[in-house]
Amino acid sequence: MKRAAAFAALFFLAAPVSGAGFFDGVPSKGYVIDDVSLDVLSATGGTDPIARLRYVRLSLDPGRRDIAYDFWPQREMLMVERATGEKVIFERLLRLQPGADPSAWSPRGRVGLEGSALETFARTAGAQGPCGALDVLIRAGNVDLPVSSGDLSVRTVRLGVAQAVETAVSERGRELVASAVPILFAATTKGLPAPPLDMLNLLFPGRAFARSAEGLTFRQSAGAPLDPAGGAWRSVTSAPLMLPGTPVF
Amino acid sequence: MRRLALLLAAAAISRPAFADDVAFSRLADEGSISITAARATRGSGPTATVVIVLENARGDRVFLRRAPVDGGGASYQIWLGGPPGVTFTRRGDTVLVEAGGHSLTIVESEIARPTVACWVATLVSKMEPKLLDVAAGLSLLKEQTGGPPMDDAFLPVRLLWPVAPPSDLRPHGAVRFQKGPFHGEAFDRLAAAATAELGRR
Repeated sequence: MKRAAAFAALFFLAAPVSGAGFFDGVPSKGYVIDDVSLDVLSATGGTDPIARLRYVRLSLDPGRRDIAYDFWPQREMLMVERATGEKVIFERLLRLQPGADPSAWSPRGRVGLEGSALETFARTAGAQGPCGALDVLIRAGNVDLPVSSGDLSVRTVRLGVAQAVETAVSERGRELVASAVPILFAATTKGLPAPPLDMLNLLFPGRAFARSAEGLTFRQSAGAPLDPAGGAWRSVTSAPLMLPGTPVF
Repeated sequence: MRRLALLLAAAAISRPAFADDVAFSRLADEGSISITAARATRGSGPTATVVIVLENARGDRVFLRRAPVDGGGASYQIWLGGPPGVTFTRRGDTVLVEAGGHSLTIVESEIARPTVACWVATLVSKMEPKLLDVAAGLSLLKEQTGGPPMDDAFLPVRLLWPVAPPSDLRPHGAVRFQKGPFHGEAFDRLAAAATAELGRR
């Protein structure tokens, strides 16, 4: 009943502020810049990993050659697979080429889970109307919430975003995200970057995630790396074509 | 004796618990803008129910209704034509905004924040597109008079004003606030409309 009420609370904004899907317009082919796979071991959990991680950074082929390779857009994918098989991915898009309309929403960050997702968009110029000055769009399920990045500390905004997120993502899904955060922060000591987690400030404004994890160790993954195009991962993200090396012009 | 008791009981039921008080006022410029208000009140203090009917020169009406709610706080409705329009339920520093089966909880003091204004404007304009214009127009006129400030019953107008686009109303000359009583059939109809809404739940 509470979930239904929360859904009703924000459904009014469900009309597509941005009709485009997160990956629409994002190049689907990229060249691997970084690729790290780790097993996460717990001091109390024996030799079997409690989770597996993979971080991939891609240079996305924009499909045109008037942009220097160094300026190609990039996609970061931070994949977490728990020993239970549950999956979550944190993704970030950088350097996307601005479209013809600077007031159009451009994808920025995404938390993908099996069956649900939280996405953030941004724009560089305002638009007309009462929401025209807002620079961030949070998409939680089928709800679009435009937000001003200057209003994230405002109670109404925190309440509204939290309601939208609770409606879009199950309690277990939110726990999965929360439990992945300390693992990923601990993994920064092994070369995994933290910035893909920055979007959590938007999606969970005001929430203080635990960042420290005790008793965790990491080792280079012995098995095949997590494959975003394989099995259940296909329902978690839109897998790109990942090519080794650099493009031959 | 028993018959007498029954008659007394029936008489008590048929009489209104409180005498409804109706007051009139008018806002008018030196041109064609004229808004007459009938304000009907039942009870007093924080538990009072208040209905205000505003009517312009063309006969268009805006209704405002303030009533106490169970558990404390008050609900404030505003509608054009027929209810329910938009309902604002205030409890403490939060206000639940409801329209067309959808709702949004806001902190009242944050209404002017760009995000909060966007959300409220979106909700209201989807359900009652003209309401934002009405709130902006009323506030503009009220600002130009020396009359008393908008009181608690005008909460919907006060909340919608900061989120509404600027009014395109252009008063001619001075805008004056005038208190009643006024007499005539048109005022009787307005008073009746306000009083009828007092008893609605």
